[in-house]
Amino acid sequence: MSIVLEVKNLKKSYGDFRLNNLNFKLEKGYVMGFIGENGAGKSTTIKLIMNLIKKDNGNINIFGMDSVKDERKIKEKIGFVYDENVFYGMLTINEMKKIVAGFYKKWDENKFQVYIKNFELNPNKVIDELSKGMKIKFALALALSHGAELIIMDEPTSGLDPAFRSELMDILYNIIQDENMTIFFSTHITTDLEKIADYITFINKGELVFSESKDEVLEKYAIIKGASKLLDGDIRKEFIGIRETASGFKALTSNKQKAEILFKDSCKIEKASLEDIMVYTVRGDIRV
Amino acid sequence: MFNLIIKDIIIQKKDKSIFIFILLNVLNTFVLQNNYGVSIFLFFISIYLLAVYANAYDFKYNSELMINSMPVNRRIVVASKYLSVLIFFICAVAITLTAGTLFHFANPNLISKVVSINTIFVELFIVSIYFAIFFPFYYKLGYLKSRWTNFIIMGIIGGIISSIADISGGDMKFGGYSTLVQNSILLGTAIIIIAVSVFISIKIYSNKEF
Repeated sequence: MSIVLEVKNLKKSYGDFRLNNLNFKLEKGYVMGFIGENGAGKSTTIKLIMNLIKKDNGNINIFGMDSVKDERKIKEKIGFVYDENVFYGMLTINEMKKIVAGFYKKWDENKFQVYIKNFELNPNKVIDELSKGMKIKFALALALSHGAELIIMDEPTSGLDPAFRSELMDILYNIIQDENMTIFFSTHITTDLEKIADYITFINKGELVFSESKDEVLEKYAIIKGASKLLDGDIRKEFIGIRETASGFKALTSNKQKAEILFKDSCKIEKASLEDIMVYTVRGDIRV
Repeated sequence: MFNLIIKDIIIQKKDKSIFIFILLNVLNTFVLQNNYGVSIFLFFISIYLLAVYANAYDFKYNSELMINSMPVNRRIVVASKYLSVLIFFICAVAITLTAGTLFHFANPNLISKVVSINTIFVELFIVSIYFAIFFPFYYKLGYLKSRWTNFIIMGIIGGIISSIADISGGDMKFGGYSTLVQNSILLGTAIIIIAVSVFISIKIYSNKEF
């Protein structure tokens, strides 16, 4: 299986923020969810991948090419969808499309027209008058109409209502039926990924927490619920984060098997969601 | 590069700036008859308007992010801005010449002369100086901050225009050179300062982070 995106020892510093030694890779035909709280370094990583900012150290290879040296060739094959509108808002969809189409050798007008129709976008509508969801659909239509093989999306679902988020996930689900399409998708709304992601890369405060298959992650991590009296020093070390209340504790472990042996019937062991994993890792121990 | 220039033109089609650009250059045929300094300044302002409006839209919609996410080299992005100015310049000259010629045939008493070749070279020189200074500041400081440098550069440009108008009189000849030598000096100087400016702007833009 060929590697579409490979990030090796990536470093970038901005004032107090530091992206430290980031490593992950994404194979062709898969969807990677890139999660982390706001300010964790997701957008910085995406900007580094897109060569919009300069890395301090490390390598980014896309389609086996260097992201800086072969930028132009790489970008022919990348579709981008950003959290903010980057298109000229006073232009209509058609006018903006004319500008974008000129930049790509493999622009497919028929494909664009199909997407515009499927996404129910009016080509004569001014971009400033589109809702955030429609703007994301338009960006996606552009991204899919020039033969892109890698779609990079930076928080496309933030600020969208649940109904539209669900619609967008359905659209992405249909897109990935094409085995040649690879998607790298950053979000802090982890529920979006449950349906479509194959791999999850999680960063916290600029550090990589893990980059693994979603199924493995959900298999390894677990939520343990039990009485507070069980929490001694050694037990606490077994957890990534603990939430203690008057009625007991709830904690996250990254070793479900060990927890099952350790607690047997004294605790309740539940499946952890991606949101649990993110929240407990980011917040650590909390006493309520 | 052609796509980037087309983009600068398309985004202004929606605006009144193209209309004002045409109007200023048509009006210029009348101003040119007896006020050379103002005429050159109007010509310059018409080009300034188009070039700076294009930058304003890039800033308003954060479109540098879009442009640099597409398969286009940063050197080309910079070079296209300079080339856009050259195209605006050619359009301005074409409008002034066409309008002047039409008005002259319609009413020779009102419009006795059209823009001369000497004036065109002086205008090219003025426009080149302005944008050669402006663009490196624009790429370094961004749209908002670079607006302040405009005032300073505008002051310099105003001074140069006024001096040229005073020294040369109506025929736009100065220094005792022949027309060919004078225009060659103006063109040569314009090419050199623009080349240096393009080099500096590319250096700045290549290291810019979005």
